[in-house]
Order: sequence, then C-alpha cells, then structure tokens
Amino acid sequence: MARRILMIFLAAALVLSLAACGGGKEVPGETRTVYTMDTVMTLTAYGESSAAALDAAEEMLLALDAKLDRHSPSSLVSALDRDGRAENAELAALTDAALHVGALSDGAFDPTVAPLLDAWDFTGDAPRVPTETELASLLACVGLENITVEGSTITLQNGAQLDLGGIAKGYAGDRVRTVLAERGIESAVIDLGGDVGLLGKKPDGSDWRIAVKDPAEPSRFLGVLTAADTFVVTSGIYERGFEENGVRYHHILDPKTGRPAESGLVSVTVVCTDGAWADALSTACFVLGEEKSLALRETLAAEKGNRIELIFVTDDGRVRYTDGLSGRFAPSEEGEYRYEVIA
Amino acid sequence: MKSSPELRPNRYDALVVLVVLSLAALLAVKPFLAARAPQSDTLTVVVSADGRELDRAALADFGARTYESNGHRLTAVSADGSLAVAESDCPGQDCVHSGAISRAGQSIVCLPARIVIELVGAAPGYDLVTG
Amino acid sequence: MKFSTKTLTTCAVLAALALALSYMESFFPLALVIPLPGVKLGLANIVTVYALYALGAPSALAVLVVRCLLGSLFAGNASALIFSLLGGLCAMLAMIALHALPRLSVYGVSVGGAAAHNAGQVAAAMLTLGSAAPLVYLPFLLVVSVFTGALTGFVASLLFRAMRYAQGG
Repeated sequence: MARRILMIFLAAALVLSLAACGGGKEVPGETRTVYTMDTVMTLTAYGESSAAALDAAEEMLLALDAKLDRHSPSSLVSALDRDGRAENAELAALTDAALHVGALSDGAFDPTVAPLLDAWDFTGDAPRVPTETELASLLACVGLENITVEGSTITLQNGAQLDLGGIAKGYAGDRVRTVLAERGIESAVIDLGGDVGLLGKKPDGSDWRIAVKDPAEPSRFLGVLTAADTFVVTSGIYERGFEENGVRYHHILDPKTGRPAESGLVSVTVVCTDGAWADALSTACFVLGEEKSLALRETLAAEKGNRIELIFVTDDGRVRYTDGLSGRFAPSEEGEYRYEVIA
Repeated sequence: MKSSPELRPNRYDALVVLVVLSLAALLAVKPFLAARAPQSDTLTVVVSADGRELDRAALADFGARTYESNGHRLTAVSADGSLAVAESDCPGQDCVHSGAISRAGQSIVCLPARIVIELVGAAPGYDLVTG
Repeated sequence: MKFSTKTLTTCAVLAALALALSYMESFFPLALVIPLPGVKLGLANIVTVYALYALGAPSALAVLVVRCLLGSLFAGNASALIFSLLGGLCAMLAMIALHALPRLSVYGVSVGGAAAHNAGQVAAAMLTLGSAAPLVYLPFLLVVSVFTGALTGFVASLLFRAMRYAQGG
C-alpha cells in the first residue's frame, strides 16, 4: 500500500519536474537611453528581440524629433511656421489630435502658444516676465481657430505658430509602443523624462508599480500607482520655471491670458491609454483646474468611451484622485497631504 | 528503518516550539532597539553620460565626485543617505534644483551635460518613479 | 561509505519526491508577504526528515544536495542554489542534532528543521545583499516555521505509519 503511494508520488514528481524544465526562466531586460525632444528618454524592453526592437525605437525617435522640433530649421514644423502651410499626413494627424484636445478643453490646451512661450523664455538663458502690452499683442495670433487641418494639409492664419511640445512626447511614446509591439515585445517601460508609458504587464505577469513623486519634495512619494498597458503623465508647477522678485513663475501658460495658469493645483497626473492624449490632457487639466477637468473626464467617457483617471495635488495640501484609481493607488504616509477619493 | 521515530507529539516538542517562538520574540524586539538601518546600506549610485555608464559606487562610499561630459561639468555629493548635485556649470541648473534623492529608482538628470545620476538597489514597494 | 543498491534507489526516489514538493510549494505566494528571494515554505523537509530516520544522516544529506542542485537547474536560476542549499543544510544540521534526542517526536524535529531552514534562508539573503536588512523578516518566518514544521511532521508521521504497516511493524 505504501509502495503504491510512493509510486504515485514518483510519477507526479516526474511529471512536475518535466513541467519545471519549461518555465521559470528569467526574461532579460534591455535598456536604451535616448536624448531627444528636449529631455532624456529611457526605454526598457523585455524579451528575446529587445535589443533590435530598441534600436528601431531609438531610430524612430530621432527621426520624429527631427520632424517636430520647432527649434530646428530643417524640421517640418519649422517649415510650417515659416510658410504658414505644410503637407504631411503624420503631422496633420497629430495636429488634428492636438486641436481635438483643445476643443474638448475649451482652449485650455492650445498648440499655438509658441509665441507666448518664447516671450517668457522658460527654457532659455534669460527667462523674463513679459509686459501686459507684449502679451496682449502676442495673444492676437494665439487660438485654436488659427489652425486648419484638411486631410494632410495644415494651414496657419494670423501669424500663428505651431508648437506640438505639449503632445509630442506622448505621441512619441505611442510610436515607441507600436515599434516594440511590432517586433514581438510584450513588456516594456518607456520613461519620457518622468512621464511613463507602459507596454503590457511586467514580465512576470503582474502590474507595474509606479511611485508618484511628491511635487513639493523630490525625495518623497505621494503614493504608488499600480497600472499596466497605459500612460501616466504629470504636469506640475515644479517642472520648469523661474523666480523673479520673489515670485515663482511656472511654465504652464493659460492660453487665454498668456500667464502661468492659476487653477488651485500644484500638479495633475493623467492616466490614459493613449500617449498623445495623456500628454495633452495633463496640460489641459492643469490649466482647467479640478472641477472642469472632472467635467472633461465625464465628456470623454460618454462621447469617446475613453476612460481617463486623474490625480490632483491641490495648493491647499490635498491629494484627490478619481475613483477608478481606488484600489490602484496606494497613498504614502510620508508627506502631510490629506488623501481624498473623488466619487 | 535506521531508527524508529516517535510519532506522537509530546511535551518535548512543545519545548522546541517554545524555544523557536522565544527566539522570534527576541529578534522582533531587537530592531526597535537598534537604529533603523538606512537604505544607504543597499543603494548604489550609477552615473551615466550619453547612455554609457561612467561610474558606479555604493551610496555610502560615494563622497563627492565630479563628472564632465558634453562640455559641462557637475559635482554630485552624498550625505546622510541621500545624493544631490552640489554645483554645475550648465545653463538651466535644473540638476542643482532637483534636490536630493534617497530611494531606489530616483534620478537626477542634467540635460545639457547628458548626465543621468540614478540610485539603484532594493526597492521593495515599486518598480519605477514618475512625476 | 558504501551505499547499497536499495539505499541508492530509495535515495533517488526521495530526491525526485523532494524536487516535486519544492516545485509545488513555489506556487504558494509567500513572496507577496515576505519579499526575500528564494523564500519558501520548506515542504521538501518532509523528505529530509523521512530520509534521516529511514536511511540515516549520510543518505539524507545526499538526497538534500541532489535536490538543491537539480532544483536550481530546473528553475533555470543558479542564484537560487545558495538559498536552498544554505536553508537545507541548516535544517539538516538542526534535525540531525534533534533526532539524536530520544524523546523528541518527528514533530519537534520538523519544527526545529523548519526554523533552521528559515534562518538559513535569511542568512543567505543577508550574504547576498550584503546587509542586515533581511533580518527583519526572521521573527515572522520563525513563527511560520512552527506551523510548517508541524505540517511537515504530520505528513512525515503518516509516511512512517504507512511504511511501518507495509513492512509489518
């Protein structure tokens, strides 16, 4: 009798050890660092063809940057800004998406703010506060109505200048995901200067755990977000800006006033499966403020079936996040924020 | 059978259990007495320029180091279990304003110099950092 | 040291059994609670305990080493080797010592083995990470080892009863 038990155990052992031969191998991860689009992007892919896939992604990124960089005289956008007209399918599609977010956000996101940004010179050597008259005259050429997209043709009016900086990185993330997926990669992380794009889940099948920085204190976290196959993009006042006469000016301008947006928020984080939209929406939501952003979220869900989630850090010390994240966002105990779920 | 085992649990087994549990209790108390080991025990600083690794050292041994790349130079200093860029000759000074990092996955970037300083190591609660 | 054919084949069977137990217990999500690499329940100790009583320490040791080597080979993870070896050897030493005490039942020996196994795992983690950080998990693991040791002892006692019956007392 006992011998029989032993036999059964042995048979089971053999079967199981054969099964063990197949699984359990550590999947190798490859990382590539690409300096482009005015930031540093770190791409990490898991799987056999990672190296080749990342090479292709890097090549694509550099080409895309050459196309979209407003500061490069040979780029498509530069040509468009000079001539007032351009014809290119990809550029038209991206501009159209930007205009779409602009329309949905009632102008809070506006790809024509380039002249304003230039006046403030946030990323240059001499940032300054423009005068009211300056802003007034520049605002004349700002506005969604100054761009028209028809098929592959883009036309600019009233001296408007196109700047896709607020949507380009997210779009780049979308393209990287496509390039990697086409080459059989099922698991990858795309770090676009702090904004994150995720392809699939982690190699072991679990969701990625993303620690969200505390905007006020870089070495602390707000909490940990659990997500997969989506984008997480943050816009905040601590990213870029300068101080003059004791006042801090951040780089997210309200397209209606030409001045840094004051919406009661320190930062907003958008979780959305489309990278370009996540990027544009993070800017839009920051300018809109909490209430209007939540309305925008409702509209998106109803009209486009596109569910986005939001985390707001308000200037009165609260972290408020939408209910789609409850269970997926674990607040940290480090800072002194009050955490609230928005029903 | 080489030796015939006792098959019924008895008081001597209880004794073994007691010893194990007391050991557990003793060890549980100890961390509260000793200072909490800071994460700098297991954190490594990795410095790369243009994607290539330049330097790698345990945070505790890092001290102050200067790096030069792409015509710019910066000095990173570690103190009290955290790392920060003390000074740099880059135009934006973003790296200096980034403040200090002290946990795995955090990084300081100097774009003009194309230098990335990252902390790698035991990061039990998360896989990457955003924001 | 001469191993009879019967001993050798029994050892082989036991090693396979230990491997299967090792593999099966890796499905238990202990790592979610205790995030140390290679942390396990230690069910394979059932085999070690049995081998110790049935075949003696040298054979039990052989079974243990073979199980650890093959186990890490099958898992495709060489670094798991140090964890399972250290844990297994500690368990082995503890059980050899305990089983020499006449009055202790398999339960006591198993609990001692499980506790030593976990201590060995933590020691391996400390060596690998080069820090005392893993030590925080030991108290919890020791408490767990009382239960897994009891379980191991129970299953081992069943096995002994069955073998005793089969061999006619």
